[in-house]
Amino acid sequence: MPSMKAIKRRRLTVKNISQITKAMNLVATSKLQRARNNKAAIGRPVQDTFDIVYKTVSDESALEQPFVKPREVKNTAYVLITSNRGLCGGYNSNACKALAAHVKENGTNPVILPLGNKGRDYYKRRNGNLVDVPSPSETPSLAEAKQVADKLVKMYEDGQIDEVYLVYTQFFTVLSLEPIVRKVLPITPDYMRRVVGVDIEDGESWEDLGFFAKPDSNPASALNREIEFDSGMENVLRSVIPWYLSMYIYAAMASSALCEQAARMTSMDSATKNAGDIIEKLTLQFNRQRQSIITQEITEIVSGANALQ
Amino acid sequence: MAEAVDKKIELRVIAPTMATDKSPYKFSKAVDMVIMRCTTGDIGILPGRMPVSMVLGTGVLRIFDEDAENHMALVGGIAHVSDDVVTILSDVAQKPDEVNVEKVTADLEEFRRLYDETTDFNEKKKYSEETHRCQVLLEVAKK
Repeated sequence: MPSMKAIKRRRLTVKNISQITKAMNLVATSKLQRARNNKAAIGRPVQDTFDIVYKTVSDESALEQPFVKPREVKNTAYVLITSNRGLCGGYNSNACKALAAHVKENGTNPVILPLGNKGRDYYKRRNGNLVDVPSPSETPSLAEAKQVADKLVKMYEDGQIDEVYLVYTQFFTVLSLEPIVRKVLPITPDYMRRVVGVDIEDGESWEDLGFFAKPDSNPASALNREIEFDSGMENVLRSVIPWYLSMYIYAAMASSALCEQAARMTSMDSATKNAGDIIEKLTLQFNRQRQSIITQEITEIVSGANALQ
Repeated sequence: MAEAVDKKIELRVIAPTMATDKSPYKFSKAVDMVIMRCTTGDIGILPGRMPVSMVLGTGVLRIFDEDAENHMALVGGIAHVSDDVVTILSDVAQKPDEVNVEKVTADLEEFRRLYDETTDFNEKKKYSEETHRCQVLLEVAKK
């Protein structure tokens, strides 16, 4: 049985930890709101970009273009979005496991671009085929996403990769966060149609990426789809692709940043509650032990007094 | 006719430097007309324009609204026009007050020097593009 001093020391340690987890919970709550606003703000630019991408790839001649025409898959790139720091429950490991499950299911040869230290460390330990990309900051920026997008475009054009998947966490509610693996390249025009919500037929549903609200059906816009390509379709498509990837990655980073704060908030909340429970148990243990010592001392005094009589 | 004159186009500029805590776009406003530099030349967009996609070059975006004319430096990217909305995605989009004149002037001198020194064709092309970018930024800063 631990001594009273040891129990007291442990209780103090748990108390200190609970103060830290409580503070982290408060910080995460505040950052969650900022991350939520950030994610909401970029929804429209992302939607605009996807709209342009859809209008470009829906042109018949686009089907034979690189980035749209599927090719034999030798290497698959995965952009894995995790956090730089831990203490956020299963947020990081869930994303890493989702990637591993996808690789196992599809039997692909993965090339991993880890955006976040935790994902990079996870696959470094498992000797994954990693491509060095700079770790993003806590608040994602389009400039950071663009660096990764440019790298992906170059690798795709050089034939180093034949497919690109994005692994990120989609936010539903604070308690419901889901790791998602989505194919980004080559672009499937039909899939993009469902993403931007144009001509959704019976039996089909709008593809919710978690980046923007369901678009209004706009028949005038849907009909008015014949586009003139001023610099030629190929050139427009070649210029659109880096933007498509940048905005996709940027939105996924914003979604993941929101999920990270939500996961940290809930895990710190439960850590604080658990610490409270432990403090309660230790206090009880401490009081019992103190009581038993007092009882023993009284018994000893009483027995001593009896022996003297 | 009066209806056509009253009509405006929505200009939306998306750039890596945009701060989404203020607005989702780098620049967003209903305007009368825009003129932009594309790889095929300058193109003016008025309300009612048929849908068009263009690859942008390095140049000045001229924004006409009411009687005022505003400017923005654009470096590459694409522009798409549809349903009276002009969406511009550009690597660099800077308003006159955002240009750091001192730095850009120093960069311009440096790129000119590098251009003169190198004999490699690709290097010359790269420094020529950088020089042009600096010139456009300085042009916008003067507006």
